[in-house]
Amino acid sequence: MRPDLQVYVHVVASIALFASIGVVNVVSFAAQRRSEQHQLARVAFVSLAAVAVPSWILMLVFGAWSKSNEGWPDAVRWLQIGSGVAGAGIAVIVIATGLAFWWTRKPTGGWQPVALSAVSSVYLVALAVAWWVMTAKTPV
Amino acid sequence: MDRTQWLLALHVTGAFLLLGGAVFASVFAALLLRTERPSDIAVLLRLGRAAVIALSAGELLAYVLGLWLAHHRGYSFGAFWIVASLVLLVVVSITSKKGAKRDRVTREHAEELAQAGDEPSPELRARLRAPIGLALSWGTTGALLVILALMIWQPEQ
Repeated sequence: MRPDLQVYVHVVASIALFASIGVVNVVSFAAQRRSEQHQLARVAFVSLAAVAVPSWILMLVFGAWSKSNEGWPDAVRWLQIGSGVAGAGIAVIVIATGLAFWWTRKPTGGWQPVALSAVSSVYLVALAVAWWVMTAKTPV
Repeated sequence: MDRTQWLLALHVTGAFLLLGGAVFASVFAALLLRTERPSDIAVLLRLGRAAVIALSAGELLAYVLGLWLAHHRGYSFGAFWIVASLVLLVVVSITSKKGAKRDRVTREHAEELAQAGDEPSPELRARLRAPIGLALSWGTTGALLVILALMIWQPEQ
């Protein structure tokens, strides 16, 4: 596969991951002041299960493939930051998907949307830091 | 960080907001196809407005900083990949604005139906599944994916 195609898939998957976490962030904050809990919980769960999970896998696989092809050493700071944020993504996605599923089962406006808004906000900031340092190729 | 790094990082931030906004809108558009109650449709369309904000901010950042970056790096403004990207960005601007206007009218209709009994409406369902609406939504995303391919591939460069 062409190296630029590997980068393309990596970037598209990163953007789709960012957008899906953005969807979760918007609906979980909206749920704290709206009554349509079941509908909002469904949006959060579908966004995570159908978009965030496959995007995260594609981002990680094509990122690692591209790094291997280009021969970048592991010690490069901007790569370490990007890989760290990508690696942490699995924990974030598993926790967030679990929270969203729980919320769909109990759509009563409890603590689940509050926790989801906190988790998604932190990961959105982490993704922004990752794309910034990986684009500028500088250690922040 | 030197000027090139700043311009590139801000330009890519614009691209993330632009394409991220389109993906955000596509998630809501897909869910709308499986939603029947007018009140639920109105909620989704209201929250989907966040995509318009991301698209508008991303469009401005990507366009202005992209031109600045091309000038700074000494790229020819007549290069195919730059001209094609600018043309597609104009297409995105038109389709996203038309899509947003169409969504606003649909949301207002859904809100009226929600207040008048909140019963599923064949007319509302047909409007959400209309080929023109789907073409505007998927056309915007498709054009943005082609722009991203041109930016990474940079044919003729």
